[in-house]
Amino acid sequence: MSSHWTEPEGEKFALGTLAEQAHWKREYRRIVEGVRGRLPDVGDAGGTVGQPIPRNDALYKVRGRARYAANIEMEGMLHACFVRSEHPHARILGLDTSKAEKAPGVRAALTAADAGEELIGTLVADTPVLARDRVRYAGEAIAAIAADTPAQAAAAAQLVAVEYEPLPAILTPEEALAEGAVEIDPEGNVLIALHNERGDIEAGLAEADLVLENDYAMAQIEHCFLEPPAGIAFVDPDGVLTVMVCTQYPHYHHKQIARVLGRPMDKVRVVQTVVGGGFGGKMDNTVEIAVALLALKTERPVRMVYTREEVFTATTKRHPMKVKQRLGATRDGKFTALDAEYLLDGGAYRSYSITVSGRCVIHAGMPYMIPNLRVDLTTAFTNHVPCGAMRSFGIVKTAFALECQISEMAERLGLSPIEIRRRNGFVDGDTTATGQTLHDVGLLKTLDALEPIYRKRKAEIAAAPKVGSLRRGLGVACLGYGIGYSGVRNPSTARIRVDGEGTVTAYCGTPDIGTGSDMSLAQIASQAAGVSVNRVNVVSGDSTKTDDSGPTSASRTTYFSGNAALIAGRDFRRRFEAAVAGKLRAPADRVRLEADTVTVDNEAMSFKEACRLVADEAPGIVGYGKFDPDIEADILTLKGNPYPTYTFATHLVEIEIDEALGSLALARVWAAHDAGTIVNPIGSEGQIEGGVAQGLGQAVMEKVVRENGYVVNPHYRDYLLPGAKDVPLDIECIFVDNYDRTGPYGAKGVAEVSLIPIPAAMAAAVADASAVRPARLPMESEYLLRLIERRDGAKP
Amino acid sequence: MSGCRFTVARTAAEAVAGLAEADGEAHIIAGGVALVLLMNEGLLQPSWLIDVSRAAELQGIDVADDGAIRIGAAVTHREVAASARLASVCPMLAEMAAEIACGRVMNRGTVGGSICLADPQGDPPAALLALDATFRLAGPEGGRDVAARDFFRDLYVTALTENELLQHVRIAPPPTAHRGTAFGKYAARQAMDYASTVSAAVSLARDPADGSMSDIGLGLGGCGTIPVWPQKTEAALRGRRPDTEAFAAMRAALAEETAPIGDMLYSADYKRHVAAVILERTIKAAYRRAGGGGPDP
Ligand SMILES: Cc1cc2nc3c(=O)[nH]c(=O)nc-3n(C[C@H](O)[C@H](O)[C@H](O)COP(=O)(O)OP(=O)(O)OC[C@H]3O[C@@H](n4cnc5c(N)ncnc54)[C@H](O)[C@@H]3O)c2cc1C
Repeated sequence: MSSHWTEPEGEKFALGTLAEQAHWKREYRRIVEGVRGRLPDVGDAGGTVGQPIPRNDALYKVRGRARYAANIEMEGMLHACFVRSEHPHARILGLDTSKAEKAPGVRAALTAADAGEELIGTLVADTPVLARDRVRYAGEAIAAIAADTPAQAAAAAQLVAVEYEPLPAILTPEEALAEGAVEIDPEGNVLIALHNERGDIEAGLAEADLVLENDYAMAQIEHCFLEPPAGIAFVDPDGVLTVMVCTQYPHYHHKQIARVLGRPMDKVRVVQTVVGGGFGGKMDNTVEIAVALLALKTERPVRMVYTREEVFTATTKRHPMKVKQRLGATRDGKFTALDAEYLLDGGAYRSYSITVSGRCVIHAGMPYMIPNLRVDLTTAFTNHVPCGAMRSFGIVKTAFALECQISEMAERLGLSPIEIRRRNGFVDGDTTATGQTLHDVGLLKTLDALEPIYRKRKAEIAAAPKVGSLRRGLGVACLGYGIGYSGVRNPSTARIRVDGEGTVTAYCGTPDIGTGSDMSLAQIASQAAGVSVNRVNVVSGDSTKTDDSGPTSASRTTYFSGNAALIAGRDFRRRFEAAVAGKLRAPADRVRLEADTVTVDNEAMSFKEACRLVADEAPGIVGYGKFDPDIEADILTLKGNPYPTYTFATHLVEIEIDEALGSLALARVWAAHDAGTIVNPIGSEGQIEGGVAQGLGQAVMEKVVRENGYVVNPHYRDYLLPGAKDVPLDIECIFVDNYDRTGPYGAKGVAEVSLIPIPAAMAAAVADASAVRPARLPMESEYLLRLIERRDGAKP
Repeated sequence: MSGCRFTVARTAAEAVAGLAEADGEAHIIAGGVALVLLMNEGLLQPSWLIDVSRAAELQGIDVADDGAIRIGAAVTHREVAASARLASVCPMLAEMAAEIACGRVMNRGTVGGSICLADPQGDPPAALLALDATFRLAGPEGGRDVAARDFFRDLYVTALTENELLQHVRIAPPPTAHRGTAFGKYAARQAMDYASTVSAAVSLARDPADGSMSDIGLGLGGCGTIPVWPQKTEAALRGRRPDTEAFAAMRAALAEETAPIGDMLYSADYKRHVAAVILERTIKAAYRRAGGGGPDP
């Protein structure tokens, strides 16, 4: 192969060679132990599930050794970039690349004519690889250029002449749904409409002593992964078209590349590079097909790296959303009815809108027992960049609306925010609005864990003298969140092998996108197999080495792939024991592999010795695990059992608001989670801390500003994210004791959910501190100041 | 950026000679914080950069026994923030510099760069307006002094001519022993904000006899197209004690002479309100430092 890229044997490319990893692991332990005292000794211990095992990728990353796609250099490599639409909605009358092709350094120009007829798309193939006769949003890719340098490619892109005939741009769902609106999609402007109902909504509202009716609005958000989308494609000496890309789902790209390019499946390979943040934003199409086509066209490796501006203008976003909602409750705080209408701006193509919409409908009213419920959702096409998957798939917004309303209800009924949630919160045996009966629900435990803290801080704040215009307040919000895809089967598999020297490799289909999931899977697999976790090397993220096990998303990796790793580990143990028994001519039931030791009757040998013993058969000792829970739901009403299990949490936050300015700061967070067994507490805490930071951003400052179909703040100067000084140091993670009977060693998952309650809890805390009720995100200081002024009657 | 010449000037004279030779084609670069951003965004493609960050006359912070201050144009925000001598004579300067963006910007960005960039929300310009500083410019005809209050002319336009550079800043000694200075700033985040910040710099003297304020110097960032010297607001406060009436008068004058620019984050109205709140708090802080006591804002 004519490249600098050499593939390390049998382990994850993205993290470096095995030898390198060993060094980092030692270093990491040394540093971490210096900080935290001695870590649990995992050397020969049987099980490590539940222990804080340090990850092996952290030091790579902080020392700049991680190989992100943008860092990979290959001999003869070309650099590519897209030519993008300058109009939100237009017909393409002409496209001329001839000038660009003659520009210095240019090796190829790619247009729709090179891309074939196939469309691409994550759930529905509705998006052209390159726009052919129409563009639906400003920033849509029209052509691509490959040149010797990035600057030459960018310069040549400017020379591509596109003749447009502008069409009216539809900028809001309301415009899209209005009669006579220009149709964005051949199937009309309704991207998806869903409805679910339980009980009798009118009767439920009539039964209520108090009905609250509110409108809520949430702005568009960008994922803000630090690493922009990047990938590199080349054809290896065996004719395999290889695409290395930062993605949450290599198998999806593998299949799509094979389909769109008309190549046999075994002539495609997709390798996940180190992912510098995903949050749902790296599950979609970015560079993959373009670099693949350009690599074939030029017979050279081709790399493309998005600019930050492209990240903002041309990658999927969180949906802007409006909620209109009525909540009814009896005097003693029992909910009688919830009537919710959701309106989402889906942008120009479908992306993951269907999943997001489905999740919003399923989760309406969650995690509370509401006997009468009606939810209507419409997601409309608009001429904006497509909205897609983002951490929590919309639930952060439906939860904002619901939890804000519940907090208001509690206050109006004279109940504590914890008590009203306790009276309505799900318990074992409750049935969700889709008709699913729940098991192992730890919601009330999370409320119980926070109640004493709430009481104490409440009293302390009430007793503290008020300083100037500063006010403090407490807010509570809960969540319930289904693990995995919504209502469709999404199995995970794992395969475990061993070599004659005792190195165990676990091939897992879902990639590690920076969450440390490889480490959690190693813990589960090693414990199930009965070997030391230090032996286990997880290979994930290579489409040719693992089975398609779905993406790393929807908080599903620990639960789905963890279960697969558990089954594979047990299967491996059984096969290994049988192989040893065969060699020793002993009955299989007298051989035990446990705690990295093989015992045969009273004789013991180390696992490594046993591996030497069975070395000649080792390649045949393969443990296999498939986890495919029975999931099904109606595609329109979503009735059924959409998820195998649910994770629950309650967050308590303390805020400080400066009433003279309206500025809001998050002072402290207590996050109580029922995530079942915590496989790796360091990893889970990291997820929660990150979720809090992300939730804070969405709560007070993040918004994509769009004017006339253009993103006008496509950079971090004007798109604000919380910085180190904004995120509270005091984030206390509380994991309540709970065991999910269907999870691997009782685990559920924690990934997305820690973000969900933060905006709602902060809004409730603002109400507690200042007696105003925010109803939109972000809660910028000017907005809060206007609410405070209205409270004081200063302005109408 | 191929073909860009880069000269390191060892003295102000060398830099001035370079500017003259380039005949309008050269740009001065100090920390490069602002300039390189513009270059990266393709908004500026200089053919010649003259680096003044090591030029001798542009270095150092000197504080004379009487409290007179000289700050070289190439002094970084970090140096200003870290100078104990400066902090004791004029706390506002250290306070201001310590809140600029983040470590990286503080380490590279210079006082001169901020002044010559003349961003309307720049913090050093606001501080130097309040302190009635004098800017020493070096040019082909030698040096000349321009008052900070005459320096900022229009959006990104200053009194500097094509062939001049800023050599240093001078601040006169405090008028009385009862001077207090303070700096206040408002941003959506605790750090790294710049696009929509509002800041206020205050220097005042307190009459120990009747508690009234005199020698008031104010400077505002983020309140218009240039760093603002609000003279009417100064006048509205002069001779008064910092009480409710004084602040009402301050608000009225401020509204009259500031025209903040609304942006993606805040409306002009809101910024005007913020400016008044921040200015009031900063005046109170300065007054306390001048020996006036009073509660924390
Ligand atoms: C992320 C970020 C955050 C920021 N936050 C803040 C903030 O909170 N507060 C704040 O006040 N500023 C802030 N800034 C602005 C920053 O402080 C200034 O841009 C910086 O100090 C400029 O100094 P420099 O030496 O790097 O200037 P350069 O980038 O080198 O130059 C800036 C301009 O001044 C000219 N120039 C420089 N020195 C001289 C001289 N001696 N004579 C004549 N012309 C000269 C250059 O030609 C150029 O036009 C921020 C900037 C960034 C990028």
